[in-house]
Amino acid sequence: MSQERPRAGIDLARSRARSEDEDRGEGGVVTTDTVIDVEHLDVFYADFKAVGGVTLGFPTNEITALIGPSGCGKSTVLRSLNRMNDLIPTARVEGTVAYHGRDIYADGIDPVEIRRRIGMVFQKPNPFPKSIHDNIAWGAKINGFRGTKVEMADLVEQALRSAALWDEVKDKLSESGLSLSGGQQQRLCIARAIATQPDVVLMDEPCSALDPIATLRIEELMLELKRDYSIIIVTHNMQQAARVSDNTAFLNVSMGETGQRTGRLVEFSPTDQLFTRPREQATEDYITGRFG
Amino acid sequence: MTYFPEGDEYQRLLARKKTKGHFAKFGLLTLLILAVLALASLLYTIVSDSFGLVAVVNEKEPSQIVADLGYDPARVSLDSLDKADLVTALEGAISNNVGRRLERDRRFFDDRLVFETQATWDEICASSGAPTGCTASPRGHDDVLLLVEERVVQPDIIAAEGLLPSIFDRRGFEEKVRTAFATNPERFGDYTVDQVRFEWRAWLNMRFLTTPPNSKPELAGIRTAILGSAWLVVITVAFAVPVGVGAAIYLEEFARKNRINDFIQTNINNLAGVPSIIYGMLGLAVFVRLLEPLTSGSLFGTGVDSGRTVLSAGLTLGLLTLPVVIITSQEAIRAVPNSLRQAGMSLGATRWQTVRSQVLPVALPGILTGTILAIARAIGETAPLILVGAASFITLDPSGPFSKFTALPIQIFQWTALPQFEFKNLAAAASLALLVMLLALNSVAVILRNRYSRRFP
Amino acid sequence: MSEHDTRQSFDEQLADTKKGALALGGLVLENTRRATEAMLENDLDLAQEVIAADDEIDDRYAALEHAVFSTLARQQPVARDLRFLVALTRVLYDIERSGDLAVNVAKGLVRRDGYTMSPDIHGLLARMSRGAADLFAQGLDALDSLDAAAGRRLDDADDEVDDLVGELYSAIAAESGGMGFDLAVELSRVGRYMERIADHAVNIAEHVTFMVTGSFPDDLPPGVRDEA
Repeated sequence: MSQERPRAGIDLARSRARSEDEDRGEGGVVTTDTVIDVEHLDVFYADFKAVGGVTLGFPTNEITALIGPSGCGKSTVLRSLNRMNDLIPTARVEGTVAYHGRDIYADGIDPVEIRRRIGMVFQKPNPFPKSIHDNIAWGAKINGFRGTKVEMADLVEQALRSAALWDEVKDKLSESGLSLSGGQQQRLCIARAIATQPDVVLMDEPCSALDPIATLRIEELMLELKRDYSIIIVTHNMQQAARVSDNTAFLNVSMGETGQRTGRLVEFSPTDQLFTRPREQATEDYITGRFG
Repeated sequence: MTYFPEGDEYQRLLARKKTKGHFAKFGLLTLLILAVLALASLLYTIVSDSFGLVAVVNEKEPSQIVADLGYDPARVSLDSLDKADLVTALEGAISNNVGRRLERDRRFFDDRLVFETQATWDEICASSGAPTGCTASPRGHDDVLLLVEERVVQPDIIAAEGLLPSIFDRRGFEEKVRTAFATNPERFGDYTVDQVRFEWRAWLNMRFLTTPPNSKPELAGIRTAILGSAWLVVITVAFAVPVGVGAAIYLEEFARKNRINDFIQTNINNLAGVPSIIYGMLGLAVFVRLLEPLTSGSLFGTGVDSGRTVLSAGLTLGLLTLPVVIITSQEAIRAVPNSLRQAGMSLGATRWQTVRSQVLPVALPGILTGTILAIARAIGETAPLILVGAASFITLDPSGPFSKFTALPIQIFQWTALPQFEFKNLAAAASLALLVMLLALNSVAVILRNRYSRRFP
Repeated sequence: MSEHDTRQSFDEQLADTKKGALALGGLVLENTRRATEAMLENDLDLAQEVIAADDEIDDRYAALEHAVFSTLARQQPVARDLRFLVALTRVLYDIERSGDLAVNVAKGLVRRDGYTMSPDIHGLLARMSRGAADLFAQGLDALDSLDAAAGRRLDDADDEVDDLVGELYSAIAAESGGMGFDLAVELSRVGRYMERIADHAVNIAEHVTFMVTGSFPDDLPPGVRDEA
């Protein structure tokens, strides 16, 4: 008698936790809750089109990673989300970036307010040359913190706890922020960013200047933070994107007719899918390290 | 096939490389030594002329004056006499006319008159055109002492020697003077060689710093010049620093990159190199003449009639230093890393909030340094001050921004033009004083900078 | 895999691993054919060679497993590379098990000191064994060429071997009285071994489909792992 042939192995097509009905197609996520929706985003620096036609939705309370080779515009896209590109004189943005449904580039929207709600952490830790307490308090003060000194101290403590830094600095809050190690400084910057109570935190290669242990601590921190915040991270470290993110967007440089190198969105998928069974060949070439 | 030498050939190459390196180092050291020697010789010249032996002839010896008053000259010196005695000594030496004139300028005593009768005095003071002595405070001890020295002692320096020869070859100097008397007595007029005293004189001393100028070099000082320079510094800083730093902040943080701003920037850079005398001409035309009501203070009712006031000069110098302050402040602001601004703005701060709280504190040491260096430059400027009307001879201290004034460089310049050889020594002493002032200012700059940059490591 | 030189040493590692797996598969295929021949010709010496060859097969298998494991640890493979390596561990297992099954056939022959069988059964055994070996060869070809369609194809071809096995059982049942119980059992076992070898071959092809596409041919119901 013949036996049933034993199961050959895992079936990636079936093993995804989500149902097949959820279509994370090219146009972005359809059914999951999104906090920022980008539509046909073009970013120009003077005449140079750095980013073209990007459309995707960043899900709420999840970590989304932007990966891609140098020059693919991932940092440009990130900076467009909180209008930090406005600080570059030649930058120009077309398309819409909708935050909770409202286009942040519409007339009458004040970028200063946007940046309060969409915080940012930078590649090289950049704490202010002030005390640890003041680093966090300043952001609160300029946003009109109404409270007593005690309440401010509570806010500072809360922010430092959320950034997993409190225990290390609670006895030296009046020391300069610059006296901390690189990893601690970056966590201080994270604390500073979340002290203004944003709901989105943008991170531009936050660990690239840090050693591996500090990096892992920050990754752990990100996983805790996503309970309360939506996190969008640009990273050139694919393994980090694989470890930490729920969704990954792959951007690549595409050559235009005029020879311009414009960044475009190639694929946006749940991370586990992108790293086991990416839809686009270009994505697979990139993540397996075989560049064009 | 190897492209590089090996073994012995390499050793020779190595030796040649090192020798060249040594030569270069040696050559650069030589250049440094040259620079140091040049500066040292300047310093030496100034210092040498500021201290040394002098051969002086007094019309009446101070010891004689003391003795005439009844004191023991071995134990009492002229400057330790009290005012009353000094006035007595003065009385005996000058004519009544001169005495009355002096008293009308300024009384000697509160409670009694020396050269006038009370009746005449009251009459004069009641009439229109009353002399200043009616209202001014009486002369102090030092003032009278100066008068005694000027009109009774009447010292006349006939020869002076530099510092090192004075220390090591006193006899040589004395010999020189005696020989000069022997060979060329007409040169010294009525004096005989026995009247000559040889004394050590520090041309730069406390008296020098606290005495106004005098046509007699032995009695001249730089008090008015120092105060004038001080007033100039205050006005220059008050004008140039706020305006300059403010302009720099605007240019660096708020101005957009367009043609107009580029044009402005270029012009500021160029103006920093314009010769100072052009600023003098500008100051003359605008502050002294055009804005006379303002700079003379007549707008505020001070009654000064001319625009040649320390205010005009201060504003002129302010304009002169403005481009430098702007440029150095700009550089200090530019040196603040952009990451700080990005951090600030990303928290929802406005540009001004970020500049005020994050950028400026970090730029402050650089701005301070630049400012103080600009001031140091301002203290040494001569040409614009001449044009704007630094007085050639003024003995009254500047009492406010609307006063006539003089300044240290002007004083030095004028003294070097005078024929009497003593003024050379005075000029050297004044230059030394100026150098000390500059040193003090620069030290303040360094201290402030260190203090602030320690706070922001 | 690609001519880009950004991961040349990794590509070489992958190529070497694949070559090693194919070589191992080749050894096992060779051993299977020899076992078949030994059984059909009653060549006990050949059977002994088959048994002896298993040592090398085991050694190579261990080395290849280790190589794959090491590559996984050190190269952080993703996507296609990850699927290839993970599936290859299973392919290696299928190859090694097939090797053991061939040895079992030889061992049975030696135990019985040769088989005497009727021409019917002889013919059935021959066709069945050759079919299984061919299928195995096709599985190896699928791996070599990374043919994603082979999975479905071999699954269909496997039915033929299954049918032959079924026929064998019937024939044995029919002659069981004449050949004796022990021989009947032995020959049934041979049928089972060959059937399993054919199954392993299909598995290999299906793993190849997975390597290429990330999923299996659709009509596969999830089943239970079963050891031979």
